[in-house]
Amino acid sequence: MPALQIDFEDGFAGDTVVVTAGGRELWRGDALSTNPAVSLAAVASVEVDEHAVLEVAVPDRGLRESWPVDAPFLRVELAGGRLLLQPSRERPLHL
Amino acid sequence: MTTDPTAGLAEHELGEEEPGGGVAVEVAPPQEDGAAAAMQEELAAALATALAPQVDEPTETGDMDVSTLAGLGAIPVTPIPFPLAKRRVTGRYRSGGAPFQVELRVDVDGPTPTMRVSADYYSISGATTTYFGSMRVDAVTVAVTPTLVTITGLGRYTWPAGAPRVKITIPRVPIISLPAAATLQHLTLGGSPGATYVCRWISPFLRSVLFEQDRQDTVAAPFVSYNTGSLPSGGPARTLSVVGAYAEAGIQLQTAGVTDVVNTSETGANSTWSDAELHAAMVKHFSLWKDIPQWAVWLFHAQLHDLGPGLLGIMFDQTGRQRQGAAVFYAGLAGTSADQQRLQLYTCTHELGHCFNLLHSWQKSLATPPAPNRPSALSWMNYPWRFPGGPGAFWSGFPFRFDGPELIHLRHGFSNAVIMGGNPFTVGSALEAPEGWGDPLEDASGLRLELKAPRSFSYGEPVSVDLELSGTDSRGRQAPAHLRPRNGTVEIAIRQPAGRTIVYRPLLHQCWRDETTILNADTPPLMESAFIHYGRDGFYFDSPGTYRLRARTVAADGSTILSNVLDIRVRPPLARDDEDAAELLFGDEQGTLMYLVGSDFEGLAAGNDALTELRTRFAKHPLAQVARVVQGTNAAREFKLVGADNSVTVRPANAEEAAELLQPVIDVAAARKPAARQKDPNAIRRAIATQIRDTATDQAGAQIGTYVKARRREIAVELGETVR
Repeated sequence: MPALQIDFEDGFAGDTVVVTAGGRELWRGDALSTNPAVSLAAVASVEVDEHAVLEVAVPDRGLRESWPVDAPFLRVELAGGRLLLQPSRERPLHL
Repeated sequence: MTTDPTAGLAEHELGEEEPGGGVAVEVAPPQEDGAAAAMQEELAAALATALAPQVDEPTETGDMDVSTLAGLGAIPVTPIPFPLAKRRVTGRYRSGGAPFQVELRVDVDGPTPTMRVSADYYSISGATTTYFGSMRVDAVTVAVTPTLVTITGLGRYTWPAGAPRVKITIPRVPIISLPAAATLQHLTLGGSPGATYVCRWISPFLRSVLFEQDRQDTVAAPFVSYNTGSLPSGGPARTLSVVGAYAEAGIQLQTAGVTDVVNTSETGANSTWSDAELHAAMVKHFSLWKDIPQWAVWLFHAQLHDLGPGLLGIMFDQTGRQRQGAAVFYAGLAGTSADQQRLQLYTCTHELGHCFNLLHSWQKSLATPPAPNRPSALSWMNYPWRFPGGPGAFWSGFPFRFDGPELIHLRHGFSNAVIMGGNPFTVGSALEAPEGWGDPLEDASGLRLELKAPRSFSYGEPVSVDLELSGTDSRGRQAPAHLRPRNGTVEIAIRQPAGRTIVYRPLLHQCWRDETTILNADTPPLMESAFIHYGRDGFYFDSPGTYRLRARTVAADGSTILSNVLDIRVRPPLARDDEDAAELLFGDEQGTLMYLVGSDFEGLAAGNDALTELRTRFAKHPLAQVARVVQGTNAAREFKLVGADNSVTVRPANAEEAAELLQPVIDVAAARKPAARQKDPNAIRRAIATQIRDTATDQAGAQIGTYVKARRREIAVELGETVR
């Protein structure tokens, strides 16, 4: 079961975030807020089945996006009222 | 006791050395430390001077008035040879005495000058020194003679200063001499002298910060330096340490304190650092740490943060007195390859940038107050992998420097917005939204400033605005008698469509005797027009879109009077001719000619050619009227040209040509009519200016009317000369 790292980056302000795959909750973060010093709110590590479709939701904002897993890293950002998912083959860096 | 360091006539003499032990210092700038430090400063000064370009000789730009505009540009300045290079005046100066002391920062002729001066004021009471407030002049006028540098401007203060104008004089001395002292003279808006401070030179650096570094026991080789020529970059190759990177920004990091090796056991059971554990380590190992604002910072070279190896560094100190410490993590940074060494330098410098309250380049809008984001900044504060074009594009263009607004913040931000332990992170970190432009919490100034302009301008049309200052109560308030950007009596901030906010800077600064007037609810308002289309930063309205404007002036009691916020739109060109005609007006020479309302100066010949092409090739286009006014007004003036042999040739006024060019735009006869009854030349000019303002601009039409109105004094001077 491949490991997936999800970096929750810019735009979070006290948000609850839920990550699911196939209806199964893989990760939940409460009161996530982006630290502007590192542009990072949280880092989640989850294990997903191959060819799984991952869903990231911010329920209080009515936002939900899905992504067929095809990379070991995923960057998630809230911008312009949208949830942006950006897969990456390289580990996202923050400073 | 005086409560305003700018007020009063007291002269504060050159400072003695600070008293030693037993002195309670609440917030004080770091003291220079003995002979070794003095030698280090001296060496650094010599090095900085040697590396920097020489000051031009002489570059007098002040003391202009309307009557001298006619000759502007026509008189070449002959350089005066000097056998010895002069010492630069950029650096930090400090006054002594009581009840106030000043740390003055002069930044006008160093390697990367921001053309600003700023100061922090300290209240001295008995044996205590307390930070009082800060001042900054964003638009300075610098006059350089062979013997003296004079810097003038209107300061912004963290308190309502009674004498907000400053005049700084610094004798120019040969490079082999000791630096001269700077005299900081405060002046009221009316020109009356306020407090004077004589400040001795203390450093070529504009700020000085004590810098302590510790490392975790598992970090064997903390970063030392990187040769920026090892990999492609956007700047000259040099060996840079963190200290060197800040020195290039004008900030001295003085290595201090005791270097500790921190045991990994302090991370707790998981061997990784949380922010709380990092804070605890800082309090324990940062030997200079105090729970107060102070110019001291801690950098911890650690192994791994709780957030994993993707986190290369963090300014973790975000509770209580913030921004005093940062950490970098070698789980992601370790290595001796050029790539890794470069990343170590970048991360260390970046994290310390957060300690100075700098935000990421693409997140400047998160500051309080916000500033435009700059995602494409080639700065220490960006992320290379977020740069448009990717990390390769970033590194190949990166000069290993902070960007311009960041430099201004580091050197001249108000103290609490920069000092470690001052404002919380992000508060006051965005200098581009200058302090003092937000609505006041309480306004009992008794004055109202109104900013007016047409709602839209065509592309290329010169933008001018009307200013109206009025009294709002019956008591009467002392206010500036004139509202002119070129006199420094009013400032106008412009937020451009791309989000950049910039304060208009006139091309020329006029040293005008400051007059004041009394305004109350019954007196007529003071009305002025201001040409803000072109200035020292070039064209301020050079692309279609919506611009947001706000003006401010300072009353005699120090109250800052802010205008309404005004939106104006620059319309996109509708047809090819609109675009082509406008393009003939864009160019620094054309901008200068519009500012001066014409000139024969040969250095502006290409601009005059473009204006001639505009009024001949596009004779019926509304923008051609701009060229007519500029060249017609110039034809009306007598123009002196000085040859290389110092011979003076006078080109006489050509009233016929002037009338031919101006008549379709301005009713010259109508403008002259009331003037004809006058005898005094000044009265003639005033009468013409009034007539142009009141009626002649009707003929000029909407396209050119605001420009004619804003430039009516210059036009009146020339028409006045040919009226008789």
